[in-house]
Amino acid sequence: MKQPLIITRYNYESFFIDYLDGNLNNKQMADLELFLQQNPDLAAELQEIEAVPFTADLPQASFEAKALLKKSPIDDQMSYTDYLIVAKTEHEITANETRELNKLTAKQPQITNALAQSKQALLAPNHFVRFERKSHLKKQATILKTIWYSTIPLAAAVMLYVGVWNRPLRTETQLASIGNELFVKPITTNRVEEKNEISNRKQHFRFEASNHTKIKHRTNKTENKIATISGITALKTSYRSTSNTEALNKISTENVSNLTNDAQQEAYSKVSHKISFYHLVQTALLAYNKRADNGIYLEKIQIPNSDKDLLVISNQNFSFKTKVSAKKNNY
Amino acid sequence: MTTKQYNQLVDDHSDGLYRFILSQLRNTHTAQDIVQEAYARLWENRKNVNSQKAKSYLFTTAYHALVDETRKNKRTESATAYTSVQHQSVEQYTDLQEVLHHAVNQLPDIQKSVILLRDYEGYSYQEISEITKLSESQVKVYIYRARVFLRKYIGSIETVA
Repeated sequence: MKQPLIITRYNYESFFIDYLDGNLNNKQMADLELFLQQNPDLAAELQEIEAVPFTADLPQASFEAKALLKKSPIDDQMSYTDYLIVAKTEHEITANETRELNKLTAKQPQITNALAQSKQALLAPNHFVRFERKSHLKKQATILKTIWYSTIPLAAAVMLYVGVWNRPLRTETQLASIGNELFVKPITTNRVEEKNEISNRKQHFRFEASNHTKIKHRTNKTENKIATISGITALKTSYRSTSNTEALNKISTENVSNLTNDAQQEAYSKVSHKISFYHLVQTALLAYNKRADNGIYLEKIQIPNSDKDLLVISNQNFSFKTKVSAKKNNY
Repeated sequence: MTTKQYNQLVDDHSDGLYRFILSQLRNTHTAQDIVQEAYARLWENRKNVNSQKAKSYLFTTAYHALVDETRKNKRTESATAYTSVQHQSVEQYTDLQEVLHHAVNQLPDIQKSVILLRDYEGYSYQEISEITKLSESQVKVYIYRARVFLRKYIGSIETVA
């Protein structure tokens, strides 16, 4: 500090401070000594000041002051103490910062509370809150989907085999095919008893049809699939029993009624005309497709230079092929 | 990503994702829709998303849907409703976590999101930065500010008590 030329009782304090800090030059020291001799009361005051042990507490006081002045290194809106507390909570604190925090905590016990509160202030999720629509999100594995979707064509295919090779030949039903479609010609039989039998069957199905309105309409796709399969099975049983009216009456009404209304209507009408089993399955599948919008197709492909046709049952995930005799065009 | 891995992700993360969104929206239907939408997008992009990164993908998708939804809500939210939330008394809360969640709702949206990602899911600053598209240093600042706020909030309640 730049000192006045002469020490007086009005400006001696700044000389004292410079003296204590060791900042006086030789001339100023000599002036100060002379001044103290002339003013013994102030000499006593200087001795008192010198006797106070500043050095012992100075470093800590200085550290606290610095800590209060410091700003957070990441955010100038945050105090350094707050920064250290959060850094400790976040396990981001460095070794140096830990030492500083410990010193601060020793001098300011309230920081211990703040540290405890900071740990308490961690958020925990409420595990009772759960997402309830998990099943809506999950997807069926492709292999399972394929197996599931292939169930219907597989069942139909099995029934086709049985229908093609095990059922009695029906010479009275004439089927003509154009492209992949089969057309059914009216029955042209002269046999009276066969006609009677067919008449009985028609009456039976009319009776069943009258109950259709009582059947609860099922819209669930899964139920439709199951219903279609069981319906086809039941219809096939009835179809294969054409020579036995009594057997027809043993058909499980429940199984038939499980078939969707459209499928029943169409399948009944076709069965009553004694069409091929191929057409029966096709009708049921078409009816099912209308309901479920899940394309399953049945095709007949002529094999060139062969007495066999190829039947193909397929959807987007599955394709089943089998060869059938085309000799009499009656499968 | 296989179907099995995808289904496992539903089991592992749908609850956490739902809680993260619900904590900020407080509307179960919208929160459920956002979770469903996030999974739907994951399924659509399953061929491009590594199963190791799928969780981050889900939270990123849901977070941005949340931001859109929050903006939309703020445009339509009435001033009265907002005030009623702000002035809700904390005396009704008995559990510390309830108090903290009340405090969280008073944080700015961005601080709320980062602190929930940090505490609910244990995400690192870098992961949160990828989800929120903020820089890592920004994420850190928001987390530190939120922590100071939450600490002082429960401190003030203890003082009053």
